[in-house]
Amino acid sequence: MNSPKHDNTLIVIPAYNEATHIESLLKKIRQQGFDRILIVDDASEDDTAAIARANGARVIRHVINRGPGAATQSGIEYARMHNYARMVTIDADNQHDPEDIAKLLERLDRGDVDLVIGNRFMRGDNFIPRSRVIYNGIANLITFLFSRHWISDTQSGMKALNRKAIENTQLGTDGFEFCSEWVIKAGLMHLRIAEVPIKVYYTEESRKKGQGFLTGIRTLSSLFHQLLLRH
Amino acid sequence: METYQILVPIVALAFWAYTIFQFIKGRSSIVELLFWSLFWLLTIALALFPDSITDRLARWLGMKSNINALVFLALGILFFLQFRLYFLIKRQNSIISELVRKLALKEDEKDEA
Repeated sequence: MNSPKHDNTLIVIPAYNEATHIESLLKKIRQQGFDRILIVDDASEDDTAAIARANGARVIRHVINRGPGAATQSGIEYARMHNYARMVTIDADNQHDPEDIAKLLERLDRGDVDLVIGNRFMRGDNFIPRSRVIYNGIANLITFLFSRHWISDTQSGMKALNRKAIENTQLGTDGFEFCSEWVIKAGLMHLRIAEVPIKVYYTEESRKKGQGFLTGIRTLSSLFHQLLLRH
Repeated sequence: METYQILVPIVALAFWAYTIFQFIKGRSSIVELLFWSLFWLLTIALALFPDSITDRLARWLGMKSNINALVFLALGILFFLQFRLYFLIKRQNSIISELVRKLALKEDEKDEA
């Protein structure tokens, strides 16, 4: 069972074709005392949804694939509708360690921030592929240009939000560019941001699934559209 | 009269008729009808009186050659249409995501009830 102190916390996992990882991830999250877990199945073609349901997670399913940004926004809207006080997003591919959820929440509960980002670069013992380091650096720079806030891991998928952030976050981009958009919009909405170090495990599979040069181009174009032309 | 001066107005008239048909069927707005009507009428006028119109256009834009003025104007129109298409596609994408999200949350509500 959910430990009572975590009853108001929703763990959101946007997932697309993650049947091989989802069961072990759900077990690890439960071991940390979190039972309120939402899988946003982004129209997976494998058994992601069935496995998640069989392992006790709540599943909402997109009828067509819309991307990680769209799936994350669905999770935020679910948390908003069901009045959760806190929400944590975590990647479905097992690259994050659920033990870190408590660290993010602990930082959030100090009450002086609204959004806590799990930072993969603050720990010296994480092995991060060079391509990711470079991509993240460029993304940080782009995000900084738009937001004037320096965050050293803008592309992290592990974040914790308090109620204020849940109520005010409205992501407009569907793809991986939502990470930068999130930080920029958080700044525009005067949400206070902090970063805490987290562990990360890169596998061959997670490296293939993540972001690359094309995502960078899309990020620039989407941010330009979202932030300069629409607002 | 050159061959293109017959062909271009015929094609433009066909597109203009299509534009009017789209408006009658309620698939385009009055603003779109006016914009495209103006565009096709201008195309017909350019085909029928190429030199007098483009010479005047070149003088008005301060260009020496009427061909330069025409290319400049055509590029401007193309960029405008491209820009408009970009926004339309972005908007459609965003509407589709919103719809997919609403469906997912509604299905969940049904399951819960």
